[in-house]
Amino acid sequence: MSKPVVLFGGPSPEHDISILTGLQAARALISDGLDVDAIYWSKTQQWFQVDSSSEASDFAQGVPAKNKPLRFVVEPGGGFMLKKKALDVSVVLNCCHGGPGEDGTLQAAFDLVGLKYTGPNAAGSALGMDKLAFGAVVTAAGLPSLPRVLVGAGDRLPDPGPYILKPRFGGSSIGIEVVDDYTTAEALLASSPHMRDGGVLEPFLAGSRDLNIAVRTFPQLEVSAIEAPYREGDAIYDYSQKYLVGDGGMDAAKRELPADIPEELAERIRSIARQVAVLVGVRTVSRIDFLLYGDDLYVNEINTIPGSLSGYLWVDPFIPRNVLLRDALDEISQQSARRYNVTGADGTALHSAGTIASKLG
Amino acid sequence: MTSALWLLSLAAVAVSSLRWLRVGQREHYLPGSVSEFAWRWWTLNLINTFLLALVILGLVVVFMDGEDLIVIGLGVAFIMVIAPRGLGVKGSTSPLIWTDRLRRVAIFTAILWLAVAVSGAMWHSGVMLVALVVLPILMDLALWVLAPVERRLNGKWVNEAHAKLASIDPTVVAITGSYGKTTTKGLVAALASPHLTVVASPASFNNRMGLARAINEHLALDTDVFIAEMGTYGPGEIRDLCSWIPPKIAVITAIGPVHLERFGSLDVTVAAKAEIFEHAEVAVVNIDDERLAALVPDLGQDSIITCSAEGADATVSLSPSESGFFVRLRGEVISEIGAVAMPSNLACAIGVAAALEVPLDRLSSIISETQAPAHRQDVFLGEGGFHIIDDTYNSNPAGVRSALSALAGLGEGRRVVVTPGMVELGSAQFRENKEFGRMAAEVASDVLVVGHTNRKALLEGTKDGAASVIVMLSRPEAVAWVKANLGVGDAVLYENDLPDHYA
Repeated sequence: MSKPVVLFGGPSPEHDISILTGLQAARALISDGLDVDAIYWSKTQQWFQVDSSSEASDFAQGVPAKNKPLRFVVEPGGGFMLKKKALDVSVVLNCCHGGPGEDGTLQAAFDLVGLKYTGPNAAGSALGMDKLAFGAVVTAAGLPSLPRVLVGAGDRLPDPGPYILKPRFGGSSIGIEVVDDYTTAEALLASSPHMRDGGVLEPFLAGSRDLNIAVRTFPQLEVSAIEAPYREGDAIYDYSQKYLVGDGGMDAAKRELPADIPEELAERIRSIARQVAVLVGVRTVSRIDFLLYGDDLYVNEINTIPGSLSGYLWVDPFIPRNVLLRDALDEISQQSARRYNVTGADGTALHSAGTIASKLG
Repeated sequence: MTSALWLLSLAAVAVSSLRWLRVGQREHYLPGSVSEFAWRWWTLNLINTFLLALVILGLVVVFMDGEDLIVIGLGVAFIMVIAPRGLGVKGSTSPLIWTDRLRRVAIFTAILWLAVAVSGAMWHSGVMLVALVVLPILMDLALWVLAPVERRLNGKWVNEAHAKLASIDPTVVAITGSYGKTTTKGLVAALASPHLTVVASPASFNNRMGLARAINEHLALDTDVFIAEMGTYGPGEIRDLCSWIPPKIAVITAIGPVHLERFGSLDVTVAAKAEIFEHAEVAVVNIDDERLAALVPDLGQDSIITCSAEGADATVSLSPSESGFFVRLRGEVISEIGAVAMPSNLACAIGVAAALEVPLDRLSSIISETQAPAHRQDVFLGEGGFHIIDDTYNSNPAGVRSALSALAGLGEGRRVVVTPGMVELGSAQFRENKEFGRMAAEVASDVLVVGHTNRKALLEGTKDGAASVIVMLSRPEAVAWVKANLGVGDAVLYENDLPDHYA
């Protein structure tokens, strides 16, 4: 019988956080009475079936001692092969953060195999990971986004520095630097290993606030409560809180939830979040991050596979984690796997073409 | 009647072997270690010595007249199941993990016992009891015979790692030393990672299997620099590691009396560590250590980076400034940095960074952001409102000094040191622990001495100090005391945590 697979890990800076998200999701589904498999994608890009009730500590040293190596075969009827037999997968609950697990690479491979998976399709995933393209799409739709330019492309931002330099692709805060001018940005672009696939520059808004919201697309498009995460350096985010938080992962981070903001602002955020979800092609769940600078609101970025799958954000309306996960699996299992259209490739062009040699002549 | 004796002995072997397997596993399957620990435990205190004497007496009686074979056999088997007292069959800090390797040791030991018992039974049934008592020796024999087998079995993982390393082809930095390896590794990673993709072998993955695993499971395909921490229990080990993880840059951080009982002398220690330089292009040496400085003239490298944290004339030299240190690279001051816990490790790390040719313009800010890795002196605020320094993963004199000075700077209230002392220091162990006790009694208001292993030395050291000294049997007992007695503004240092196969 086919089973859902919780997939986590992957060659990405967020590999470890992804393990937490994955184990948490597996735990919630199991306690809800569901039989799930767990697949771990190692930093060195190997696949392992692992115990779906593993603990985070089992991964602390690397691949857990109890594992079954899998091969991932990209062809119809392929997928995750345990020895010679493919696992019978109903839906892949993709918990990979950052890197090829979130940026459309893995999604495209799943499409070629015919596997169903949570999160946007390959194109939507790629758009969500590309800060330059995402910003441009948001702006083109008439929604507020910070001006963003590709470093080294000759574009200039309207305002003088300082700026924030971010890796163009990548979901985490790793590699983000505040720079005073273009020269510094270009020097960092050349030297930083995080910027090897390019970097984008946007204005640095000192004192701005982060406001995040989750969206989900099933049973219908709806939005979560809005959170205001505390940043390191805020008075309240002190040493002891950082060290004394609970069991790790996004759930343990400190935040104001729901954020104490005017209803009018909250409504604007909810409305923009719905539009962004449609623009990117969100499926199941995504988190959309905003920046509030004075009275100005900007769409900052989208996380198509957010930490803890944003389960902690659904306090109002309250939706328990197991229901969120169940709905995500139901949504995807009702859709069909990606199929490619071959209409028109009926041989006519080939029959009438004669020989290649004559074409060349 | 003999069949009853066989059953009895077999049951006792099954139970008591769990205890010795645990010791063997904990001691890295080193042949000889099981007997050594068995002897320590049997002679630890009056009860154990008395029980051992009873057993020997019983065996003598069995061989003298052989009358009460079953009664005495029952007694011997019973004692072997319950003793030595204090060394549990199950264990709390280090439970038995049934790996394939452990299974092989268990099976082979059982076969040895059977072989001795069966062949001996032709002469005297009492032999099976003797074999039960000397089970640790049989297990050491099994470890010795299995050692080459294990090497072959590991070969598969090592070959895989070797091939993988060759295909990714990062610059390999190999670090060894009696202490400071992990700190140095972390600092190199911090200095290089703004510019290069760095993978460091995880904490304590520093032997053949550990490094193979680090490469197989952690070396991502885009790695520029792989930092391999190389530990050694004896000569030849690092040479072997370097044969399949050839370093471009090799570092020795320090030489000290760690694991001295396995090396024999400091000269042997230096020679074993110096194997790391044999094929490296760049040698990075801490010349504050006389023994390491003496190596420099004989090194074959074109590029030798000498490092000093005492302002000596060296490629990288740290000298005191008002707020911390001036950093000189090839004679030129490149930065001034704040105070750091392990300046000699930092000097070596800067040496490696120079060899990697990464820019050092942000040295000072990177250093101030760097924290000690987990379990190597972690400071945090406990639930009871007092500061906790977690240095439970440390076992060397230099680390102890730095932890004590960290404790001295914390809180305004009581300062408590909880420690079982340091081990594996060979003939220096008593002296070093006594000195540790003396320093602890200067800094702390209370010193909690845990367990038996170093009790005498620690008490000797603390006796002239002002601190009140309490003797505890176990760490949980000490933790309970700390929780009951400390509050806001107090501070506690947990220095070293011995696995429970130490008394």
